[in-house]
Amino acid sequence: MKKSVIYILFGWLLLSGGSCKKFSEVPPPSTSLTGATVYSSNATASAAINGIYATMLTNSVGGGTHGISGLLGLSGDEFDLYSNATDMLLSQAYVNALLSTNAPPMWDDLYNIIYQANSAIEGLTKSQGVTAEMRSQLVGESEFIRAFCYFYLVNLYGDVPLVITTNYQENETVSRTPQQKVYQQIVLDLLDAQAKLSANYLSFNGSVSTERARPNKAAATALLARVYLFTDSLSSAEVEATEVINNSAFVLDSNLNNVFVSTSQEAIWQLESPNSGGNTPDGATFLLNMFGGPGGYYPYLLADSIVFGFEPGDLRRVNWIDSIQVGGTTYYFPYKYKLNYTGQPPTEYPTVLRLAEQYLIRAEAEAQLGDLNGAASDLNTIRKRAGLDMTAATSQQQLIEAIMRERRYELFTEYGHRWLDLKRTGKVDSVMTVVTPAKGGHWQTTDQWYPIPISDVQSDSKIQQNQGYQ
Amino acid sequence: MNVKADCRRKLLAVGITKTLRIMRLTAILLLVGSLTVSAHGRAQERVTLHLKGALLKTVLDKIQEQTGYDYVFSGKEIQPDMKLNVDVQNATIQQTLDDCLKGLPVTYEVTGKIIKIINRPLAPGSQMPDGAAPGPYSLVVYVVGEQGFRLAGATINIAALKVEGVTDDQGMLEVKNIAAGTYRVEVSFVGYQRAEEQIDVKEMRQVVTIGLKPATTHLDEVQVIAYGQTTQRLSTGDVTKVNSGDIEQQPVTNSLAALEGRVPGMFITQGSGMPGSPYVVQIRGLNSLFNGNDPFYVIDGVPYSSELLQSANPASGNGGYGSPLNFLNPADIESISILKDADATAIYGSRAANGAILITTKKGVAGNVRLNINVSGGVGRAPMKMNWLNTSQYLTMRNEAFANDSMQPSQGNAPDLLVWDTTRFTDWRKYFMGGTAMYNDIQGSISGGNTNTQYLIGGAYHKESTVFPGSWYDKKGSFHFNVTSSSNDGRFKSIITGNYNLDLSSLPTTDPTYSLRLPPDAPPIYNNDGSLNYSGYALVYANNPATYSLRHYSAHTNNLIANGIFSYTILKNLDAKVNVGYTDLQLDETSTLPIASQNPAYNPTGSCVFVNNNIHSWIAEPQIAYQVLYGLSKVNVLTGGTFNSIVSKGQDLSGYNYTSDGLLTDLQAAPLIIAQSITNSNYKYSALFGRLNYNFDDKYLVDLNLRRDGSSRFGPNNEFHDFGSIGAAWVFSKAKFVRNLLKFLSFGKIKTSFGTTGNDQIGDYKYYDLFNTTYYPYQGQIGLTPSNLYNPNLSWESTKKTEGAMSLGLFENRLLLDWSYFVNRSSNELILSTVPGVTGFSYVTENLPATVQNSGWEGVLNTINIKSKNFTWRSSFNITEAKNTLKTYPGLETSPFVNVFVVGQPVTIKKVFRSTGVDPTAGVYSFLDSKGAKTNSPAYATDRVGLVNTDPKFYGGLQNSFIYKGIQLDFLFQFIKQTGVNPQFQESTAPGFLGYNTPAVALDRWEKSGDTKPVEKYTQNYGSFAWTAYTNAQMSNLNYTDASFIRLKNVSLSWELPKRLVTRIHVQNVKVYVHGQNLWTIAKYKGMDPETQSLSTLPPLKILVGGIQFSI
Repeated sequence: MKKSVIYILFGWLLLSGGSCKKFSEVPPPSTSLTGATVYSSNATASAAINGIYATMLTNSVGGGTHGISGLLGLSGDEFDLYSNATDMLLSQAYVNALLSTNAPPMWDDLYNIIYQANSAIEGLTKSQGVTAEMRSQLVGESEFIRAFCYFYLVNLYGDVPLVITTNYQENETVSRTPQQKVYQQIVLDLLDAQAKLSANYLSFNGSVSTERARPNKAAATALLARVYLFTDSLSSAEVEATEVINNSAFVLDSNLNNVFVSTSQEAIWQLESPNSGGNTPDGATFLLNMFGGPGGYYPYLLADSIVFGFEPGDLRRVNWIDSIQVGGTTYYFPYKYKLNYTGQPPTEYPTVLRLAEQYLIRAEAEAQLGDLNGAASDLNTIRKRAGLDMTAATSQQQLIEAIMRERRYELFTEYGHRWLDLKRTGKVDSVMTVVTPAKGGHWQTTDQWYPIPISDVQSDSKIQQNQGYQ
Repeated sequence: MNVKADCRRKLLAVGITKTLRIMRLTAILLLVGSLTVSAHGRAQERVTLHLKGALLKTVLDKIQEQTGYDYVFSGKEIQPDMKLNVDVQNATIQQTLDDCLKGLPVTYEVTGKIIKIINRPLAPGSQMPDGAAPGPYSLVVYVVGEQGFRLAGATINIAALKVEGVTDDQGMLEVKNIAAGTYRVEVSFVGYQRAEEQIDVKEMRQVVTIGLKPATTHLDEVQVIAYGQTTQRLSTGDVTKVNSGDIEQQPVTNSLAALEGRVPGMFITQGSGMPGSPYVVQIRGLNSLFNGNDPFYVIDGVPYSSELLQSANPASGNGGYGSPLNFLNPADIESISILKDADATAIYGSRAANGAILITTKKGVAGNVRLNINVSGGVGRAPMKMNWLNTSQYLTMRNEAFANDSMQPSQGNAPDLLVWDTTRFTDWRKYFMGGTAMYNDIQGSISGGNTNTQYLIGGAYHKESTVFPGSWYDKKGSFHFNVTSSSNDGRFKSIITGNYNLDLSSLPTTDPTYSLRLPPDAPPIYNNDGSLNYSGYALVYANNPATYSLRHYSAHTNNLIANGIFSYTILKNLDAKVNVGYTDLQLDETSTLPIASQNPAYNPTGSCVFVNNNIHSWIAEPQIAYQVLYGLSKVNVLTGGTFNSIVSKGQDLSGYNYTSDGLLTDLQAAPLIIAQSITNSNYKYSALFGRLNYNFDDKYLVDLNLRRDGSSRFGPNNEFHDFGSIGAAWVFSKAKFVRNLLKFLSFGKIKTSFGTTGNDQIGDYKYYDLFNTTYYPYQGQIGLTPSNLYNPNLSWESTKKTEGAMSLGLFENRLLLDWSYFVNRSSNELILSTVPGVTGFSYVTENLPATVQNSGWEGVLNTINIKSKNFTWRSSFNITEAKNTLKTYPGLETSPFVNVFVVGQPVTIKKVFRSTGVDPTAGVYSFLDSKGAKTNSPAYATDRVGLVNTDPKFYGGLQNSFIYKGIQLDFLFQFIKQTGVNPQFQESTAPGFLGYNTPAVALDRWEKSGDTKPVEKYTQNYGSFAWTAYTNAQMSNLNYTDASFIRLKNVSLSWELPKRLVTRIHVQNVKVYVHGQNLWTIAKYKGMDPETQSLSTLPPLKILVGGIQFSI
């Protein structure tokens, strides 16, 4: 009898044990999705990519007080800082005395977007439920986004960890990858994106859109042109820029006030502002006339070197700069974006890539390669639109200098072009040793790289801090 | 010769009616599908017999038929008509006879082909006691309980015969073949007093009935434990039980309130004095740094959610939750068991690291139909202990503040001095919480039944109002039923229980207690026409303080708890059982903000919050229990499985921009609807568990628990885990040398337990890489962004519990002392740990080897001080001293909690500035920096080197109970030694600022150079040094003060009318009573209440209730 009892107990355990494992597996909550389910249909996969743009809009990529345009302009010579500024980070960036304990947000922001792009690439590659066409487009967009983020990372931090998977257990022990290798990945991603992306601008559901809110093939080409220029692949830069310039979708609008609007014919890629009554984060930050002058939270003042550096008759000085007088002092501010909160659907979008830059990229490549006529022609296209005469530069050296100067006045306070140009052309030390003391700081060559947030250096012992911030 | 063999032989003398039902067993075995039995033996002498209750003679005849063996009876006392069972298949003769004669006083010899039936010889060396020689007599003992129903499983001990046995399903044990004479029979059964009787065996079959009385000493009371019951005498785990008697004496609507001060190791804090208030319950300290520290609640075997999903309940304070136990009628509770150590909790596996609270509801009792009615009514008042400044003191303060700041009062900065009528005085305490809350309660139940079926049906209605002005209330109606039944043969039993509770609350949306700080000269609340006086208040406040009276919180709660336990006795001592349960808690709330309750100057619109949440769960727990008796050893084996599912759904919607107050509670009429939060989560849990309990002679006890469980909250790599414990106890008072040496010692036990449990209160879906919707759409379509990293390794937090304990009973257990020491170590803490930003995130929810230790000791002393015929005085005292320590926290320096935790200190530690008090010269609080130098401007990051521990140092309770004839008086004192928040610094502004009165402690302030005072000089200016000093003082040790207290938690006086009086009016009993709660508090604490420690929430009320209870 005892034996039979043991058998009963044993059999009972077997019976109940088998059903245990299955039972405790639950589906994810209906109020959110998991990585496994997001990339299983066109709609949710597309929404995940939407989430990337929405994230960009609300972090430093979209602009705003700690945005790329503002902070990089402040580090360089585009912005002055209002004396009563309350923001510690802005004050530190202004005098080129950043601290790793209060590091700029780009590191975390860009890597967060990279995570999302990695997640999308991984998920879409494995996905069964997304149509081939949509998958190709979304993978292309993700690769474009990843390349865009790494471009800013290498330009702000130098060597950065190259993270192309989502596994945090691996990624939390990565070390820094040489810039050159990061650039290789950027080029790989952009070439693949070029192949995968549609030539048209698409909307959420894959239909053709009038808005340029999702990168297309031309956007990948434009960014690739910039990357080639930055890595001295000049003939490739020329080829890519030419492809964009020859694309009839893009036109240099003769009216400078139409460059940054949502219907801009010059835009190659814009982030679509949400329909919440506001327009662009940079507009909301820089437009001092909206707040009755500068203040603790609105401390961005356009530097005199920009305001008074234009050639006489430059239409950009008139159309892209405005001022406000407070207590007898005139404060200048960028007026590329002209609207803050309107309570109406937005009519201006943050413009990340636009045609004018492509002309300047090609001009610079041509000048470097010795095609001086071509360079002058492209430069003059930009000057003509600004209401200026043909360039007087004739020699290669003069032309290059003229192009760099044109870049400064065409692309001021836009996505840190000036700061990146100073660094890639090796002029950063000579310029900043003059500018920084004037801003009240002390320039060291190590200041051209931003500090990595201290939390990263502490939680990943393999990440070495940039020189000057240890 | 060993003890075991001897015992076995003596046991064989016990004739136990065999009830083998092989057919059914076979069916079960086939079902299980794992049985193979084979027998061995010589083929030519095979016997196959299946007989039940057959005569011995018949059996032997059958054997003769099948084998040709003959038989003889040797000895005249052998009765050929004794009945026996035989069940053999293809067995040898020896096997057959061994089987069928087992337990009978005869045995056999086989010589040649003859079977000789002989008397079973006595064990060599054993002494037959006097008068106990084997004889033809037999003794049949029936054991019955309180209502006359028979008790199966009672232990009977007849020392003279060295007999120990257990009663069968009919509560009967038969001892055969004994001599006539007098025997001393000891009977014991869980939950009953031991009985000893002298029985004269005179007749050949002497039948006696021994009645057991329910246990009165704590030692033998039934204790409900996980999947079973035990007594304090025999338990190896640490369990405290609170009975319905103690709960019923307290006029409370939440049973947790009735536990305050009664349970060692359990610290309960009431959140507020408003109806529906939440309770914070901690058993043996905080184990988890960031996750749930609630105990595991089980009602009649069904796990019960410890918190509501979300609630707008004003009693919960900011963003808090109500208490689900508010929706279970305390009068329906039979007992509450609090399980603490590893031995008691490990069988609950990953759910009981924070202890478990098992609630058992009332069951029906056999007997005549009994109608029980209990009607009571009473009053509640808020304690008015703390004084605020009166008008003249307030005006002095304000003027002095202006003088100190070298500023002049103007109509702009001092309307309270220059515009308001400064001769007015209103005691806002009286206005806002000076009312009387009314309590009405009626409980009724009918119970009855016979030995097979018992039932209980009860209903209750309770209504209480509040102390606030206005007609606020909380109403509850509840229904409870229980049906217990068993089949005629007692094999099949079922217990079906249901509880349904309906609660309607109508309360102000915010606690009006906040308005106590109004200046005493503030203008009248209402204009002469009865409308709210907005203009008078507009000079100082955006709103009138009585706008709450128009803002209505209404809650409608339904709570259903139902369960059924079905058991079947497959074989003797082998029971199969299944426990199924269902709970459904539905809460619907609205919280209005009408236009009328807002200052018309701002053209307000109305809004309303609509919350509803629903938690429903089901559970099924099949179990098999087996008991083996082997001499003096008892082995109980239990195995079972758990399948549990909890689905929580909730939504919190707000309707905005209403233009009419009439439509406020209609969500459809809202021009703007925003979903604040939507919850939809599903928790699934499954487990296998087992327990092995070994008891040798009630002297040595060993308990092993094992559980393997899986939970949907854990990542795929860690879904399943094993938990277990071992507990052992030695009842040393049963040892001979102890009995001889320590005669005063009636009971003594030492026990120890060790084991692991887990905490899975980590929230659902934490390991998933969840994507949530973006706040803004992109291209008109919502986006999805990952909200966290995927962590497949996420798992439970584990707690290792170790305990050593001792119980002593002195002077026939009139004095019972329990002492236990425990060390609980929780590790694998689930923490937001820093990851480098390159991973895409800053933090990940990870299990880290951070360790929190809770250690301490608990003591309970139960005494019966006086016990005479008419008068009894009992006392019960308990005390707990515990310490919480954060042992390790890897990576604390880089975590976001570097300013919150200190390794080596309690997890609740506060890092504060060290203040030297008020500087006699400057008149403001001054501080020490980290190096000990005096400073007026301490640095937040570096100078907070002072540490304040707000954990209770010790706590407990003392209950006394006096019974004189039918009069019973009980009172319970609760005491806590602790540090709490100093009311002097609870105001958001320093004494002197516009619009805020201040507690009267602020009178003792610095006025002139040289003053040594506890309060700094008054100020009314945010630019002053005094203001900065005040804000620093709020972050300093000054912000903490002694909040110890002794509270007369409960008084109960009752009088049971004498029988001769009540029988005249044909009722069974009548009791009139008065119950009081929180009547008196002794504390040095200067604030409103040392338990809630807040100036903005209603303290626990003083309640006095009178009533009458009678049964027919």
